[in-house]
Amino acid sequence: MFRYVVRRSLGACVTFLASTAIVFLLTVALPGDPARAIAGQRRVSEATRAALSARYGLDEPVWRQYLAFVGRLLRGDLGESYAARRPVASILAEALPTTFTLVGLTIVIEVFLALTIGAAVARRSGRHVDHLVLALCVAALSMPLFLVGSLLQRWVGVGLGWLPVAGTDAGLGSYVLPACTLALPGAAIAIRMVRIESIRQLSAAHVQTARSKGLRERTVVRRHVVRNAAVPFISFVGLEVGALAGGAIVVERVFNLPGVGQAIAEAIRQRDNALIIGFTLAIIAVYLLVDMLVDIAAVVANPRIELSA
Amino acid sequence: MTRQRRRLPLRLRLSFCLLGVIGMCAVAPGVVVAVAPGAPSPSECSLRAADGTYRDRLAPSAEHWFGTDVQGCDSFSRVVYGARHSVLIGAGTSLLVLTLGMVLGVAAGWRGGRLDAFVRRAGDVVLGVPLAIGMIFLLTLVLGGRRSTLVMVLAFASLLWPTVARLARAATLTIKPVSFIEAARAAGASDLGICMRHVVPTALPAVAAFSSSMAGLLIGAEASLSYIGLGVDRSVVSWGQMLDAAQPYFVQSPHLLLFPSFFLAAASAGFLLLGESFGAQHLTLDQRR
Repeated sequence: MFRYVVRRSLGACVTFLASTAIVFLLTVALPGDPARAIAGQRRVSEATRAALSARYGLDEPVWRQYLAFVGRLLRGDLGESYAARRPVASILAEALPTTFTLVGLTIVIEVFLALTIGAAVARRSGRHVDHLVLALCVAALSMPLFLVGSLLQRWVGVGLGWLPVAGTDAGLGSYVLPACTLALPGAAIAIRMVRIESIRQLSAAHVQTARSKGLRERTVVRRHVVRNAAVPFISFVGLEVGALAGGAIVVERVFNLPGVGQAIAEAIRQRDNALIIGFTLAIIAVYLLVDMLVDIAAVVANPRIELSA
Repeated sequence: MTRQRRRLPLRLRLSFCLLGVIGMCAVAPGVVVAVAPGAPSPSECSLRAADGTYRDRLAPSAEHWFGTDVQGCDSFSRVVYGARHSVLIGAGTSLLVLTLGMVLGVAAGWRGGRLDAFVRRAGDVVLGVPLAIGMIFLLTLVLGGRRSTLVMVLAFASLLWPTVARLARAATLTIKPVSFIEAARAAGASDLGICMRHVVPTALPAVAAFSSSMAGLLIGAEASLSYIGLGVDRSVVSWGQMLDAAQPYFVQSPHLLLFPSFFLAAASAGFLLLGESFGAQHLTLDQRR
């Protein structure tokens, strides 16, 4: 187990280093002469150009530049935002709590919907409810998020006046509508997943035993089926974090939440490349970390998994 | 059992209906638009009608079925012409990813060794990047400002190939030790011949199911990118950009948001149901990142 954890985290580090190398090569090293870009439109003498290159270390070989780049990353230095004229890391630190709350609440909603609806549908597979849920799932996956968000905002927020529609002033309450919006597509997939896994479990031997000893069907499902069906779910959460990164950008804009997504959208509008690079790397790091933790959790939850990765 | 047999065609029929309508719009938008009395071309817009009245953001009417947009363009013809871009994004990317992933996956599984290790490592790195983040990175920093439909397809494909490669590789590994492969080899078939005739058909069902539902999700993902300002160039009529432009007027003119949304959802659902009828339910998991 310990060896698995070590190997898995080393693997994650290698993957992260590889992605930083690609990001570095595609952005910092590739496009033309950065010293000229810094000088801008002005015609500069060869001496000025050399001075600029020396100042930013551009005259060093590419691999040394890359090492310096990684060194800065490890010290938490993600560069400086051109637009805000502030360190990218501090902008990130301000935005993270909002997005973490949003994503956390979203995953809670998804898991809840999946375990309740998925298990309920599995017991009625092939019946009308099953088809209805399938149809709803396909609809949830194909509706554009900003439409769902805008409609919820309009009907539940403004129309019924139950929940706040924008900003984060109302504490956790202001996250409810955004999280419900963001949860829909993921929940659709999770429900299908739990349903299939539960159907497989329903015919398993230990479930037959539970039934034959006279347990009520509901107890059987809750205690023996859903629990086993929930194991693949742990790895779902890992992948879901990555998928939610995209949705969060949209939902944060609809509901005006000051999170990571809003910051990225703003950076795209202002062509603030330093911020995009910093945020890209930070999100990749978080995603890889979550993915790793989730893999380890899956092994802990189900010792039958082979430790071959 | 009979129930099962009856259910499958229903999904497929629904999928064919949706994709048929969307496909017709994508292939021959001129013909579809000719049915309606509104403007025949999506670029024929005017803020004032002949009698001098303003004609921007008109509600749906007998003349303009889906109303008119902020520039006074007929929304129906723009929605119809917008289908082509979304279909190209969905189907084009899927076909490209299917081909690319199949070639890499089968080659990696068949050859093994260094090629296999390289394809797997490269795939791990690409899969470590959430799709939306990867797209934002590629579209803003690497590909510059030019965002044609082709550029979007290539960007999506460069991020999505590893999952198909994994599926194809797994299928290759399961069939490689089977005896008829050895028989084919004994009969003098070449490696390429065996792969084309035996290995690719084995991997195809899983890969095709995955690819068609991926097409559905991609159509939505592309519209979301438009919404954060990374849509295709303005010269292309696209649903994503119609939605982006409609957003500020949601309360006063909801039709501007609703009609493109319905078409978008229909196209997306068409591909998802197609994948669903291929048995893709258990695969959709990996597609969202």
